[in-house]
Amino acid sequence: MRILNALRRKFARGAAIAAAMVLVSAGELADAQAQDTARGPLRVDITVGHLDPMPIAILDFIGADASASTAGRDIAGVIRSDLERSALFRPIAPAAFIERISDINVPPRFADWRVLQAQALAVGEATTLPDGRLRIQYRLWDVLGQQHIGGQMFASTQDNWRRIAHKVADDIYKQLTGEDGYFDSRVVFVSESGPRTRRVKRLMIMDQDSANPSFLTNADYQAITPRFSPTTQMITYMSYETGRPRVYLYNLETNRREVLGDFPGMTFAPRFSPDGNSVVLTLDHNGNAEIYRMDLRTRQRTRLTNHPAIDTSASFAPDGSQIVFNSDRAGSPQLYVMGADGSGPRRISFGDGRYSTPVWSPRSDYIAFTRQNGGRFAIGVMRPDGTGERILSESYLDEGPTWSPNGRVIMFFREAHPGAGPRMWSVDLTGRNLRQMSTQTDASDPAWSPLRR
Amino acid sequence: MPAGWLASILIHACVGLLIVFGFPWLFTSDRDSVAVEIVPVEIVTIAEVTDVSPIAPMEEVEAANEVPPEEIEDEPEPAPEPERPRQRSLASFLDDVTKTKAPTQRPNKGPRGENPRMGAGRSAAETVTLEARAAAVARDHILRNRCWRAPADMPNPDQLAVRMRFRLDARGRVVGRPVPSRSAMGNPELRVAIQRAEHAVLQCDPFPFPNDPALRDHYDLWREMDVNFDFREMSG
Repeated sequence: MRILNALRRKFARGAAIAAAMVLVSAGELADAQAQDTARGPLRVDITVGHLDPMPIAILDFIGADASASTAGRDIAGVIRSDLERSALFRPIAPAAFIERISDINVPPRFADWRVLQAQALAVGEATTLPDGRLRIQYRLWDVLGQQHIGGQMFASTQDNWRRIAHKVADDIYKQLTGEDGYFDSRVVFVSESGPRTRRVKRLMIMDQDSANPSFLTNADYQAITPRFSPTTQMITYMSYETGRPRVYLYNLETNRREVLGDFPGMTFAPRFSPDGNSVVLTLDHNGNAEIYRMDLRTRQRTRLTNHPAIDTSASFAPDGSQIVFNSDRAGSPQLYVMGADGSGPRRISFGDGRYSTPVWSPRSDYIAFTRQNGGRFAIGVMRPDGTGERILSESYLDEGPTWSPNGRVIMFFREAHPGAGPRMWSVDLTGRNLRQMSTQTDASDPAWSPLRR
Repeated sequence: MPAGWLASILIHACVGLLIVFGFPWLFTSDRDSVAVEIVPVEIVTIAEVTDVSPIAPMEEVEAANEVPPEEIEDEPEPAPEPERPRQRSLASFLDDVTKTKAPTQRPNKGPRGENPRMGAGRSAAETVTLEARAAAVARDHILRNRCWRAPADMPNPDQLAVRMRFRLDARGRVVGRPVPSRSAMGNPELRVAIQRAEHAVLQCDPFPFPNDPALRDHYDLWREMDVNFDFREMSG
């Protein structure tokens, strides 16, 4: 009986184990099947990214003849320089290139470019047309996506090759950032020379990369405060050529100049409206400076502010609906925003120091300004409602911001220390890309043009 | 002869007794209790596997990337055969049963990847934990390798979130093109945001899941990826 019991126990245990294992396997199988059918993709949230310069390869543009080859090489150099200066791109040194491309219409060997870490590749071809003009074709390839993402063709006179290069750089910029570029633009500024007691101030214009500088006014009289129209190649400025200050309009394309008007008292800081059809300026009557709007066609003036304090430095919002200006009505110079008709002025600057020279970004998201605090001057930006104030650069004297056409870069002038002559600098919205502009003389009060057409 | 008869009768009697007593026992509550206890056995087993240790350090990730590149395949490689439960001895099985009866004696968690039982037989809890680990591995990979150039330079980056769906082969390599959740619809900023999200995936190809001891045998977990690129802050 003991044997029987033992046998019974063993048999029962084995059978139970076998049954249990069958059940376990069946359970696992069912569980796995349920998971497989119910499971979606693995979800991952990425919220942290970088803005490192994008590695890009720009080949010397191919040329069918010697002159076209030279132009192609020079154009590629200007494109690299434009993109590198923006700090959004990192052109790869041509010496590192593996593939030699002889036909820009054939897809490149993407692996050869990926190994160089290039994320984009620009190739082009320069051709001398029968009429002597230069034709440039270019193509932009997405190395990681292995696809063609852009390409254009330009034709112009041979001496216009730098503009073609800037236009190609602008197109690459737009394809890879989603925003318009700013390379095919110019800067008008005040060129300063001579001793401080007999300073000569002349207007000068140059490309945004400091190339092609030339004077707009001569050395016989002082010319100051140039301001570009946001839509045309026209500037306003003040000149003392008759001995008293007058505001002029200067069409850079036709080289035609006209007096905006003779105004009683002092006149300050004229700026164009977004449509280019009117200007806002400050007129000073007996020590009371007020902001006026003048229609350029009818020359009629409309007073926008009426306050015993000094109101000056008006700048339109890009949509023309509002104006930011500078006023000391609260006791010290601060920034205010009002309607385009002068209604509802409200203060937007509340930080420490004195705020001046506000300029509304063409992208409308920020207002640039000069802030004086603790004996130093800084260039900063804030949102139109006064929030998000950030200082981008600071020195002994940083002043006079002007926006690039795409609202990404600010140019201003700096006197690094007492007695130092002014020089122009640029800084991007992050404040990281601070660069000095190359000018032949001391330079102040820059005004950045819109993109050329 | 009588001895032979006697033996035959005895054997038949034994068989009869076994039928009478053995089989009914299988349907008694004893067996049910054994079966019920098996489920916790699985939990004990899984507990060692699901010990999610910190994300592998950079050296490990980079080591994963040092796998020499191979030809890109059009089709994903077949999933590795899930490791089947090891044939276990009766003694080990009973040991597990004993452990379930004494949960306080559960062994300490060992280092990840020690447990040989991996594959399809996961509990929901283990799946959740492994998914969290896989997501962390993917995040870490994208961040460390600086694959995502965020749309931080655009006017409204908070409106430019893009999900990218893509498939990985068993070696962690991206198969085909990632598919964005949104269409640019003529919006140049969104077009670039989509382009940068796609670049992030392609630049981070291959993903290091096969090099993670806890994840390499769970291809089904990371075969399909859905990565949401939604900018909040800049990396250092």
